[in-house]
Amino acid sequence: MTEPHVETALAPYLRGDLPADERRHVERHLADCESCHAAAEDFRLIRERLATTAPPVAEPHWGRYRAELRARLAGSARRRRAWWLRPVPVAMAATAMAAIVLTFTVAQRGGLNGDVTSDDAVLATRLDMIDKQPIVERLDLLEDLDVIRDLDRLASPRES
Amino acid sequence: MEPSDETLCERVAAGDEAAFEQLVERYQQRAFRLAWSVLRDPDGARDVSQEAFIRLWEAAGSFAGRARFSTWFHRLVVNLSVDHRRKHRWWRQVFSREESVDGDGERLADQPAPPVDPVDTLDRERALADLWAAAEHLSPQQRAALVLQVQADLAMKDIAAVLGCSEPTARVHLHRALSALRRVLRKERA
Repeated sequence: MTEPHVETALAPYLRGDLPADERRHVERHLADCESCHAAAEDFRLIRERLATTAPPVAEPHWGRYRAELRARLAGSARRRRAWWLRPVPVAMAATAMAAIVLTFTVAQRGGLNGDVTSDDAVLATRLDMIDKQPIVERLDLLEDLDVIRDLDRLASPRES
Repeated sequence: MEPSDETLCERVAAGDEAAFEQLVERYQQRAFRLAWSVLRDPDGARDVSQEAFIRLWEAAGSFAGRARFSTWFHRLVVNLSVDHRRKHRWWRQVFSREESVDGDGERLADQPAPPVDPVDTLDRERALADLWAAAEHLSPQQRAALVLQVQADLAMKDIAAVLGCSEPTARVHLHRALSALRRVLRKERA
């Protein structure tokens, strides 16, 4: 017989896993091939025997098994819940958080903005702007071209 | 009507402990046997199968429902078993007897025939014990494929998915396993 054997298809064939066309092919082959037919019969017998018996391993007492599992689950949950509650991580986390808050607060209040404000005050004094406060207050008017054109007249009432 | 595995898994994802207990009862034996088929060590099998249930409780939400629950869970068991084997390999290499690598079961063929009792040759218990003893000498993949088909009753495509290989490869694993056991059957008849 020149047709290739179907050995690796026998196990799925016996369980009924093969698609229809492949199953028909295997059936045709088994009808003609004594060797594969004998193998299929042996495989069937082995499957039947093994399906009806447990492996030769001492299986645990299932009630105890589940009790152990529950204990392991509880332990696992405790570990997961507790890792960040341990003293060292808490202290480290608190320190890190305090540092972040402090840095942010300093930056907001006394940091860059504070320096800029102070510099502005000095500059304003030097430029004698404090004395011309009414004009400074109305600097937004400089956006208006008409006001810019009459800028001299704006300052004149104070001078007079 | 009993809820399906997939329904129970959805409930487990929502934190339903009763559903979890039900799944454990359904799968404890299969998980243990499958882990044993890879590890050949009852303590390791208990440890790994329990770990699989812990993962199930913690990650049931990751079961997307694309495959059957049994395939997903068996794959979890196999992956954990393989990891366990890898971690304990050095120990086994030093202290345990050698086991055959993935192959054609030559070591099995080299073994002496089981002692023959003329009075009790056809004793069923003995025949079964011989078959399982022979299964112990299969490669982990072959043994897992065998257990998945004959004990867990998984289809070929599911066995392939659990073992993380193609279906043709899974067929080869199973065929080699059955062929090795067939030699035991033939010796029994001789």
